[in-house]
Amino acid sequence: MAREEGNFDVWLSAELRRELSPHSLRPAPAPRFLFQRRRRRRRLPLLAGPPAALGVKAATGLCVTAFAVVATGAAVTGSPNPAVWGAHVRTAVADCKSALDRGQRGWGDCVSTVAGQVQPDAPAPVIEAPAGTNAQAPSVQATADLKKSAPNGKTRPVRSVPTPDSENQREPGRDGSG
Amino acid sequence: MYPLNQTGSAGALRPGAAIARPYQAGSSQDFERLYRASYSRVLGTLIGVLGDRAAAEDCAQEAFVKAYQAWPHWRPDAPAEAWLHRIALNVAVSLQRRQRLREAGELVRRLGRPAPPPDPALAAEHSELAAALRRLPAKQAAAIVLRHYHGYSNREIAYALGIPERTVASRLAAAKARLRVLLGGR
Repeated sequence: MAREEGNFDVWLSAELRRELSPHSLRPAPAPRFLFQRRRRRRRLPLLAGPPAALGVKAATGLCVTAFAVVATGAAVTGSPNPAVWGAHVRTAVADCKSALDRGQRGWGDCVSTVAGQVQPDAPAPVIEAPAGTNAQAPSVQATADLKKSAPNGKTRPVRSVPTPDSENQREPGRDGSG
Repeated sequence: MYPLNQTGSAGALRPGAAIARPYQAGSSQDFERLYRASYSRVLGTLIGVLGDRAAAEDCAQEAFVKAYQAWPHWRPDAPAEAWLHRIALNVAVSLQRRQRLREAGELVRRLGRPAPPPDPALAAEHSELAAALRRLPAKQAAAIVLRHYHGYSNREIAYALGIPERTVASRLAAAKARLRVLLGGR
């Protein structure tokens, strides 16, 4: 049994040499790990070179622009939500329309004045109005004030918001009493 | 059995062989020296395990890439060539697993259809022993090649296979017994 085992071992070694030695005699090919090392080195200058610097600058510019847009909208309306900015403009347009008599033209200038308000410290009348009151009234007053103080002199005379009192005061004259 | 020297190559201490300068972990020049000294031996082991020269070459290169990445952490008390064999055998085991999954997928795809006939060129290339080794588990086939082709000691085989040294003899006996069965009771 031991002899058989020994014979098998001898046969096994001889067969393995016969099978594998021809492959082992060939010279080793170019090592792949060297190519990988060089490729890695080539990548590093790309990450640290001018393209990377340009990319960082572009990303910074985008971030600054986006921040400026959000900050302006938030400062004017008091909210970072763009939907609120839209509501603010719609309210201003409605106010400008209602500030004039029915059928009277010329509320475009009023809207332009409201749209031009970009001062960060400008009050946000719609948001600041106390709950339960008419939020549009202060903005109408602010619009009227802006129109009165317009420097180009092209603005039309502004009528104040009609109130029940003013209506009552006009009524007697219209009746022919004045 | 030849004792293991510091470079980890049993062959370097064979009678008449020059004593090699010890390797230094992390040194690129030393790793290139290790590559030149041990590539063909690692390739021989992988051909014995995989039975396919092209796959063995691919595995050997991948193993050297992994070894190069781990080279700064190599400890000089570990035999360098056995350490390389350990990495190479892990790569070979992973490859075999992927191949078996692919074969299983192909089997499912061609269910009900006859299997394609074996390539006669490949069949002629594989001897009876190569075919039997290929049917052994990768680590058993590696143990056979490391002992009977490279002349590794139990300690080197234990390191290469990642098993305790005292279990090497029983693993080798089991591998040989299975190989004899596969070879038809030779």
